[in-house]
Amino acid sequence: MFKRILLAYDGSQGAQLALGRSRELFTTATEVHLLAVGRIPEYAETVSEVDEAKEQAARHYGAAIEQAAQGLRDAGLSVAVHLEYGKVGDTIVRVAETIGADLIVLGTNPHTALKRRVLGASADKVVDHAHCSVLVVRVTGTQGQT
Amino acid sequence: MSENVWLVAAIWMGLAFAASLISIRLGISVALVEILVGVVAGNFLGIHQTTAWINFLALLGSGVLTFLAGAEIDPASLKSNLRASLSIGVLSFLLPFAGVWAFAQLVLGWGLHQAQIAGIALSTTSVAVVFAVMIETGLSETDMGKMILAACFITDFGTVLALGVLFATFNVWLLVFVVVSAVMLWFMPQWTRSLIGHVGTSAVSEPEVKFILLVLFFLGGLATTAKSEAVLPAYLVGLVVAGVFVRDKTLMHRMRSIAFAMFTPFYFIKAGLFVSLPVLWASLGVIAVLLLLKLSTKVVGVWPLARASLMRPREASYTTLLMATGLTFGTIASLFGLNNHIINQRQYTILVSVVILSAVVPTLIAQRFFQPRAGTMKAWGRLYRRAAERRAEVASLEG
Repeated sequence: MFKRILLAYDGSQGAQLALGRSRELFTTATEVHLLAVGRIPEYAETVSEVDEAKEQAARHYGAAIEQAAQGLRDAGLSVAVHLEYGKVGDTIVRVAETIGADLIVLGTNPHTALKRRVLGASADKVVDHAHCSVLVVRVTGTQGQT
Repeated sequence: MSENVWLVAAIWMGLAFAASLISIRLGISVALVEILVGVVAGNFLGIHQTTAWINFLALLGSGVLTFLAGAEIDPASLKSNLRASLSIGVLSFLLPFAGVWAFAQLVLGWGLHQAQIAGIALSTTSVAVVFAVMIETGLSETDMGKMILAACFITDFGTVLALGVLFATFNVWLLVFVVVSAVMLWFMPQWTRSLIGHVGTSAVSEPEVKFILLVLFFLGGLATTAKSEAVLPAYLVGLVVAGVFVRDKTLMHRMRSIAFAMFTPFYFIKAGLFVSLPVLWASLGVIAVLLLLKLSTKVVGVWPLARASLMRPREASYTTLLMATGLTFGTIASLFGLNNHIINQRQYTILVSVVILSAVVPTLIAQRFFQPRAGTMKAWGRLYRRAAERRAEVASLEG
């Protein structure tokens, strides 16, 4: 079974669903890592602009990820929390490699076809480039499907 | 319509608001989007003119932006790898400056001052673009990351210095400007610390922000009287108070909020407004050549020094490409040239286009083909420190 699992968690509906669906997998893992990725502006004009984006992301994701981590700790799991910055897909792949994860779990939220085409989907990037197995939990309407 | 200040302000703030929303949606710097919105406004919305008060706000935008750029440097990082960052930073400025200047004057047939503006605009690097890349890739806290950021800062200092000195009129006012600036810069950290100590950073009347603006306006005024450029004292003031700002983030936050909400949108939209798309289309060849020239002169200046500073070819190429980025000071230099009638709109369009491309192209190449691993960049720091210790030992033995 999977021993070191990385869950990408941003507090969204998709992430919450992924957390719920993968709890069973966590029980056999020795380490569970929760990762939130804050976006910082590309081609920034000032260092302040980047710093401000980092601070906003830390405020936005910090509480949500800690709350999720506490829930898992209460269930007796060993949980580490990571807050990183950059492009979501690239960062998930990088952190997974750094910690030596053997499974990445992530949820996806519904996107329009245009948005997927223009902005790309983080899940696609992770599935294409991850060094390990990837579990994508998809939100469809009001129900989640794996 | 142009006489109705409120409606003109509403149009410009509407453009700035749209730029903010687009930048949040796309995850791209608001400044870059504001420039592009300015290009659209100038070429498709019929906004071709600015008013005196827009010019004033844009001027404040460039001044405060430059101040923040100087104040964002961590003095400790600057000192830690000074030898490598100083040599790489200086050549990263000098070679592109000289190369582009010579090319613009001798090959493109631009006048002396026009070619100098081109040299300055394309010699720049972008600390912020590099910083964002480092954060994204988790390399900002590595020794090599800090060294590259410090080198970028030194390059930008060369750019600002050139802009302030090359076009100054050497008369008594320049002397007054230099002497007064030197005295004020000497006392600024002490004055700023003392003011914060006495009134704190929570007074509703914001005396510390007003004090910084007072100094920027006064030295900017002296620089303008001496026919120099106000960004030079702004950068230097930022540099000398950087240590205070590192400890006191509240003042930095306030300066940043004021700048981003009220001043810089006018500056960047104005910077885009004068970019002519027909000229851009007709000058694609020149733009491509100048971009290649900027990249190649950065390679000649930075790559051998990076190798000499114990980097492997991959890391040396990464460093070189990041040093070839540019945005803030490139647009400031170009707009300075246009505002002072040194360059014309065609030359301005060419330079700003190259500057924007230089923020994007080298970054993409560096990340796609030369991305180093954090472990390698940390290892470089250990290697560099050991080499410095060996040099010190040899020096002490010889001494």
